[in-house]
Amino acid sequence: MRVRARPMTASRSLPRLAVVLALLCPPAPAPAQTALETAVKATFLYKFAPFVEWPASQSVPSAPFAICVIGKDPFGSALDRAVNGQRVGARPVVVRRLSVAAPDSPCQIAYLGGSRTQSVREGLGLLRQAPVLTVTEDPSERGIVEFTSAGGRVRFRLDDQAAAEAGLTISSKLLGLALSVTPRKE
Amino acid sequence: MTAREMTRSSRMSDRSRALALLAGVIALIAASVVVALYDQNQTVARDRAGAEVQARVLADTVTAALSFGDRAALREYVGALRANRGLDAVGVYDGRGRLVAGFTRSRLAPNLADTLTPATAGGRIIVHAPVAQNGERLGTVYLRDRSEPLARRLGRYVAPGFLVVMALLMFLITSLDARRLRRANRALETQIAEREKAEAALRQSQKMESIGRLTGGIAHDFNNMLAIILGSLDLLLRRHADADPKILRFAREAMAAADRAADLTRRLLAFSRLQPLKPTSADIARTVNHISGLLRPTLGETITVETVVAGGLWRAHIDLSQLETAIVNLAINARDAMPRGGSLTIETANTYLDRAYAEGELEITPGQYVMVAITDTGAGIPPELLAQVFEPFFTTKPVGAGTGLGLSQVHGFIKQSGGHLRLYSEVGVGTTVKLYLPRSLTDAEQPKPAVARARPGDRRDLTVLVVEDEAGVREFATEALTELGFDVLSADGAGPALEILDAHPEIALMLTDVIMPETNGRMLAQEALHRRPSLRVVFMTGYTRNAIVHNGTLDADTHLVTKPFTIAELGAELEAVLAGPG
Repeated sequence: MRVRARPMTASRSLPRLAVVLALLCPPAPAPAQTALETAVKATFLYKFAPFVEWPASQSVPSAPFAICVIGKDPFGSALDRAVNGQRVGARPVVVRRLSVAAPDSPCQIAYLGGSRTQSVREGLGLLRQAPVLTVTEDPSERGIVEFTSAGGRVRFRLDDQAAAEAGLTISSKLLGLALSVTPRKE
Repeated sequence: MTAREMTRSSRMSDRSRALALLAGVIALIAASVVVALYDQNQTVARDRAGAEVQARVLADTVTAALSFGDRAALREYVGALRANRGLDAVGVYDGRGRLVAGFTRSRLAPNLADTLTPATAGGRIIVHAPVAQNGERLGTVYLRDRSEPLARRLGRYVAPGFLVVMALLMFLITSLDARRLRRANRALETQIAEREKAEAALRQSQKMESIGRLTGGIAHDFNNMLAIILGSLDLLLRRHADADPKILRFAREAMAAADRAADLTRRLLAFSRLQPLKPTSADIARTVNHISGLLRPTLGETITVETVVAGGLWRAHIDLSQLETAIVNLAINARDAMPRGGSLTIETANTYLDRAYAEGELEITPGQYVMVAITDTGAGIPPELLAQVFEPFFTTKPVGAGTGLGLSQVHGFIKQSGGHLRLYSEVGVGTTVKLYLPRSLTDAEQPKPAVARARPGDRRDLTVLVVEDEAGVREFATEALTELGFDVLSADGAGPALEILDAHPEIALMLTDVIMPETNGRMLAQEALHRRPSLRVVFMTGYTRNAIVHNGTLDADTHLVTKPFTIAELGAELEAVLAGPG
């Protein structure tokens, strides 16, 4: 599998998908995300699922596949719309909104928005050993997945080492698509 | 095993060899086709497998990009495949069947519709691979191989094609070779057959010749003896005409028997081609008409004689009296072959024996001939006897009924005359003997000088010298000439004869034997004529192998009496010589 490292050029980005349409919008400051960017990220959250392998204990076929939003929720209804009717394997996808994270939180994917009661760092610390794919947006507090913006598009960085600590296996296909990867320690 | 059987077996082995070769060639071609088809299938299967692997690799590669809608990444992945010149079109479709990325080298755009039944179309291989992750179908990869380049495809057919061409070439060469061999073989067979035929003819002719020499030698001695017997009896009857009638009767019977013996020796000589012939430019049509007139009463009422004489018949260079004898001999044979009657046909025609005909036979010169065919409707001659019928003393008649010299006379005479004869016979149908007589280009027969026949007993003022080495004959000749009224001197050889000639200028005529020890009659005559150009010379002979007879005919201006002869015959010949010019 090839590791991607390619410069993006405007000419190669055609305005067909929502991701690319973002280019046409005037660049906005990072904190103030556009609605489109938020929608794309909401979609990404459940799209990670097929490329990640959870430990067997987490793969109970009857239980729903939970995407948790912990702390501040930037998605709102966009996430609910995105996961509506989606399944991971045979498991229906549900959205859980939690105020704080705990090691035994019933989550497969957790977006850490941070709050006053629990910062992103604290949340990550609690979930470090848990089989949860943590997603953050703060460059200083990185989860296994970190959303970022590159060339006006939503991209992500992956921390394979952190995934290994959490007992997760990330498909090389997804690693290939990441903007950067923190490799596992041998 | 005969040559023909050998030929047949070799021809059969030729044919089976050719068949085996053909089978081999067909097998080779079939094998080549099978190999080519197998190779084609293998190639297609390999290409398909390669395309499928490539499609699967692409599907795996684009999974995440497709899932996350990363078009740029998709284009990059797909674009990387452009390096593969063998790919005609590549397409990546999302879960809803929409084309997300792709390219095509031909005008034919990638089309997911023909994904439904992956098939080779127009030599192109179309394959699809699902894009899925963890059982979730994300889209489809479409991949179309370019049709196989012509050069590559031809390249694959070079080896079997070469095999086929070589096999065909081999077959062609071998069959041409075989045909040439067969043709050469056939030519050789023909040559061998011709040679065998020629050898058989040569053997036959050599046999006939040696028999001829033998019979000729016997006939010569017999003629000398018969000359004495006949001459003595002749003298006895002439000089003692008043003797006891009983004695005279015995003498006449003895003479008749001696005559028959002389006739036999003549036929023997005829067969051995040693009889002196006097060929003239003979009118064959007239002769045939004349003879058939004679034959009608002779052959009896049960046999009808027909004569078919062609108009404008040529003259033939032939001894007429011998020809008459020959035709009579053949007619007698025909009569004996038809005891219950039948028909005898004598036909004549002008013919030309060409080179092709002459080549098959010995002793034939191509040219113009007068053909005389004598056909009977008799018993016919079995094929196995055909070769023997011309041999002397061969006869199919009961003992005592035939001499076996009839056909041999005909054969010897015709051959000696430079002619040719052919015998066709079929048992139960009849026999045809064709005589080919050499054409004469001289117009008319030389008229015989009219001879005033002298009566015996007249004295005449002429002296004759008799030269003969054999005492009996010499004495008879001397007596005969005396009887004819000549004055006679005699010598037993060439030497004494020349001495007598010199001593007696009154000698007007020399009667000499031909075959004598030391100097023969011909040489003696030359010497005598050198000394006495006015001298008349008459030869007497019963058997002439050389000297005066060349190629069976007498030299011009040569006079001959044939032994045995009677006093009257001798007288007639001498009168003719003395009356003639010179």
